[in-house]
Amino acid sequence: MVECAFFMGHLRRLLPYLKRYRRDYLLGLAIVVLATACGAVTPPLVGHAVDRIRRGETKGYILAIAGIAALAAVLRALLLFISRYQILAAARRIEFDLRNDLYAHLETLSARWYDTNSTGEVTSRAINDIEGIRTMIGIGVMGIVATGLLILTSFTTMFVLSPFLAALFILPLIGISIVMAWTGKRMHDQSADVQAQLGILSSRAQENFSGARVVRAFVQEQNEIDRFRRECGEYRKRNLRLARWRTGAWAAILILADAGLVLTLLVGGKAIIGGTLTVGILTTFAGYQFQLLWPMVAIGWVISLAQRGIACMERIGEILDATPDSDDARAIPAAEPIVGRLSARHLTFAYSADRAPALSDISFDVQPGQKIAIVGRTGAGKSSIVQLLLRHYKLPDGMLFVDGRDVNTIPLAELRGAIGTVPQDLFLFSDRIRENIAFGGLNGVADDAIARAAEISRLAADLDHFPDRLDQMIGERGVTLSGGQKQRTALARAVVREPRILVLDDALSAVDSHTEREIQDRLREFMKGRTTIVITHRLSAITDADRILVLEEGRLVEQGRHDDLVASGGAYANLWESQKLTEELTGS
Amino acid sequence: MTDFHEEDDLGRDYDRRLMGRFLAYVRPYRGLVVLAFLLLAARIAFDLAGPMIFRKAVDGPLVSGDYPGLARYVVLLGALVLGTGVFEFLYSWTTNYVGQNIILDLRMELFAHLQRLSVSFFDKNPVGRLIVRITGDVENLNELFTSGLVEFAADLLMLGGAIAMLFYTDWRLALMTMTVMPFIFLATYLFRNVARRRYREQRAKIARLNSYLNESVNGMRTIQTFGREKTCLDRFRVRNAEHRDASLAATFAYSIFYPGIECLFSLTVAVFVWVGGTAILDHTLSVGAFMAFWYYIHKFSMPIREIAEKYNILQAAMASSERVFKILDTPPAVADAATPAPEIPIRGDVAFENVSFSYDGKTPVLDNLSFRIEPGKSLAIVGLTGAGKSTVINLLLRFYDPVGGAVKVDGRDLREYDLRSLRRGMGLVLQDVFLFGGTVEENIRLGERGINRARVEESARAVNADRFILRLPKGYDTDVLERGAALSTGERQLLSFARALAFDPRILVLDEATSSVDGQTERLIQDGLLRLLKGRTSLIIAHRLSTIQHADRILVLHRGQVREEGTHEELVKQDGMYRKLYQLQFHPVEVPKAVIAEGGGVGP
Repeated sequence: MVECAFFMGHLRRLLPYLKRYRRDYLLGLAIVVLATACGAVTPPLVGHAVDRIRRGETKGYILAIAGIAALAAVLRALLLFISRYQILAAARRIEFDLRNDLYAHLETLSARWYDTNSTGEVTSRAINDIEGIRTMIGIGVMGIVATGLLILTSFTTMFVLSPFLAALFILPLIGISIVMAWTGKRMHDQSADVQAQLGILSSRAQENFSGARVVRAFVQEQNEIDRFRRECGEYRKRNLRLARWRTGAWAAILILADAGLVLTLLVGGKAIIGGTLTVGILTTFAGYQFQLLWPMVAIGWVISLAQRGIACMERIGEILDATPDSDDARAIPAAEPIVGRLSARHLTFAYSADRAPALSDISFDVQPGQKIAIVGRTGAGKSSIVQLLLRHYKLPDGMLFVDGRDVNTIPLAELRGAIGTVPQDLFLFSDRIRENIAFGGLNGVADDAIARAAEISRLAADLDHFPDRLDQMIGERGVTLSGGQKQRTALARAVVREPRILVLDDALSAVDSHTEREIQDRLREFMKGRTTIVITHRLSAITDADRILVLEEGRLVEQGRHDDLVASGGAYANLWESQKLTEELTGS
Repeated sequence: MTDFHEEDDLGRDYDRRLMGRFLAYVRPYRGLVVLAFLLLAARIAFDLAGPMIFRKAVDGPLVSGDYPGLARYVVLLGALVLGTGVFEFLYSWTTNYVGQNIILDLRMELFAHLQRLSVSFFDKNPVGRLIVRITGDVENLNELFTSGLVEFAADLLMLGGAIAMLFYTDWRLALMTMTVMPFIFLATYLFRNVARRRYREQRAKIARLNSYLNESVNGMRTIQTFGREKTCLDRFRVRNAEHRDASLAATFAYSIFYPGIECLFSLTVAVFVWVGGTAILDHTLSVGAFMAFWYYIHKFSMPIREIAEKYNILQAAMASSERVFKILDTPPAVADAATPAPEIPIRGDVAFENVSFSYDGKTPVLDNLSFRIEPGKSLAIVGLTGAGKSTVINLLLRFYDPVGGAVKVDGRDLREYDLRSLRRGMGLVLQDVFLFGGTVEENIRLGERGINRARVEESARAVNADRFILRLPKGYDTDVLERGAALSTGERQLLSFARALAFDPRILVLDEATSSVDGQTERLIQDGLLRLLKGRTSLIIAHRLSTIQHADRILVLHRGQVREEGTHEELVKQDGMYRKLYQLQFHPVEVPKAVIAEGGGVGP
């Protein structure tokens, strides 16, 4: 019962959708009732005919009965068509709505959630699980109602004709229920095992394909094949175990369903010999037997659809229940657009409670139009500051401010709208270069704005190498571009945004120094009046920064201008000196 | 965003050829398949005998009032029902067993073939799609066996058997009832064509939706950073609506078909009531035969419904098989020599002789490039982005073959070597270190059984990787997450050094391995690198000049050609490209722009 309530909890989520299409459902189901009535009419009609024939009825009467049966058949087909399309189409529409809602919800979820949920898993849920739900509320609902009604009407008629025989009919049905209850849970678990193993196969394959270069370079092909074969063997084993149960249950159901016919013959035959039953009624019973065989078997199928649908709903529910770390719940829109003054006050942050803080007690101020640089070792917390500024992770109040407003109170769209970022781990879409650049624009982006952004980011010259220039398609995750081209495309995307705050997070690491200098020169012009945050390992790129923040293990150890920092002889000066020292040692 | 490559539309009728090819995978199990068919035949015979017994009982003991006779028939009928179930179980299980084995064979063949394919194949085919090939598509292929071959045969057998029994019971009545059959076949045929088209459309749309979704999830942080949620939702909605509409069209077709077929069968029953009833009146048909007849009509309606249903599954299976076979038919771009040279230890003499190369056949990447590295010496390649540095690596490891000229090791063309023994002599450290799922230790020795724990630890120690490894929760047994999420870039690079060292290659190839690491880690790496390079022929590519100062020789690559060559000392003295690259790195302010423009050119 607890389990039942739990399932209902997830299914309750479907109610608003079902309500939206309740007219389709109600109409469809009402018509199913009519269609079932038309279907249940045939066996008694035939039985009746048999009895009348034995009493020497006229051929005209038989023709009339056949005519009625034919009419019922045509009517039933028509009704079935209407109800089927009503319900299945409604299920398709719910699938559509649900998927849109899921996508919209995915867009609100924060980085932390994506850090712990793999892409494959999320995609599979949005596609396969929603398909499972659609099957349940479409063909599943249709099947359970039609089958249930057919069994119900058949039994009612049978009870009227011969209560004793009808009671016997229930025996196989009980048997089938027992078999299904007994094997259902087991098969459910075993098919989950099979799915889990398929997941392992799939991630093995993914790893192998992604690491194709390494596998070949280290001649690991045969070892990889052996490893994969082991997993495939396990997969076969689990599948066969499932097949044993499934085919066993299926055979048992088949036997039980036909057992009804044996019982009918035994008991009905005795009754006929004893004179308490007519051959016509026996015919009717046999007719129901033929007609019910499939629905009885189908019940098992419908139940498995429902089980699967509930499991799917559960998984979708998990996503829909996830809450974003940042939203606009406490947002206070401002009258003035963001200018770009940044300040941090004792900024402290950890990605999770059990990990050391990525940032601790960091305070700084940046005036609008200034260029600020953040340097430090890998893992010192440089990118974390950017991620927090963009509110990808949740931060306590009173730590980070833009224009004096706590970031937590700035509407996400307003905050992110003012920031243009070239992230370290950049992502391009498999689309035209033009679309990828325009992606950064706040509203429609004019062609000349794109051209200008491509010029500033020194992408323009590269375009000559592409046959379609700006309309060149770039492959999945930008595979057809070189590392430097990807970074420059991402830079153009940030530039086209005309941001108040530009963030370059190790943005030009794959660009050679020569091109980087050219880009720096062009950016200088573009960045007049805008706030720039530069994260880099190349100190030469930041000598002109208004302020340099030096981070060590999440702590701000120094801040100031290049010359002052060098003069003060601290950590930055050491870094700078070591670069110069190398040069002197080898340059002479 | 439009898809990069639309899913190929495989609308052509290759069905027979594909089936023939697929049968090759069934052949090893032909004994079991024959057994399955025998079991199936028994199952159907038992099943079809049931109504006959029923008929005999109704016409015999029921009329004559013979209780023991009735009991005999009831027992017989019960035995037939039981037998049907048992044979069904045996037949299904045999089929499943064969199907699972075929899946295993096919999947392994596909995987093994993919291991033979060159890196260029993986550059061209997105990983996500390949995974679908090896999981979903292979799985669908099983349907080709179970649904396509075995169950189709079962349905045909059942259909034939039921019709035969109809004729056996009463041939005139059978003929009369059969008048509906042409309509059923016509309806099925028409539906088949519509269904196939609609089904294809629907699959194509779901593939589009899937790839858009996949990309969105991967790029969600970017979408959020740029505040483009609404745009992306709108785009998603468009694709979703396309899929919905295609699905609705398919649903409509199915909604007509199933009730239609059922209607035709019900009409058959109506015809049968009239003709059969009249026959009873004329005393040309017994009541028992009438009932048996009715039962047979039901028996033969089932396989027809099933056949229509299975057609879809078969369609998907055919499309899948075509895609799988397409991969199996892709020859490796880089093939082993027909008669590979005898395996002798590589000394490590590397030479590029007038090598030209282009990825697309149009844009030259390397242009008549020549250089040589003597055994045990190191060569550093520098140059602007797109100068062709990474391509040199791709050619040296024979991920690609040159278009012109030859790459030689120990004076012999790479194409004359056995690919595996050649690569065994080389070690590769890539800029983007690839980590496999598993422990640190497994990532160092990969699948190589010859490398024991001691060697793993020794290698890690030698390249300074042991410090961070020992700090990990379980040391060498710590699981690195997928793509090494828990390790920093520098740590991953140290790990890849340890990996390379553990394999003890004669030739070491390093691609920009130090480009994104801070000074401190870089010193650790520099130190580790020196030990790694010791005594090996090495080819290093880096933007950071400091990492290559220890190289024996430096080659400045520009637009696929050698621009300058020499030692660091020699090159900085020349007023050439190397000097400018060097100055840009360390004297950003002092270099006049004019000099850059003149010497550096515009890359790539």
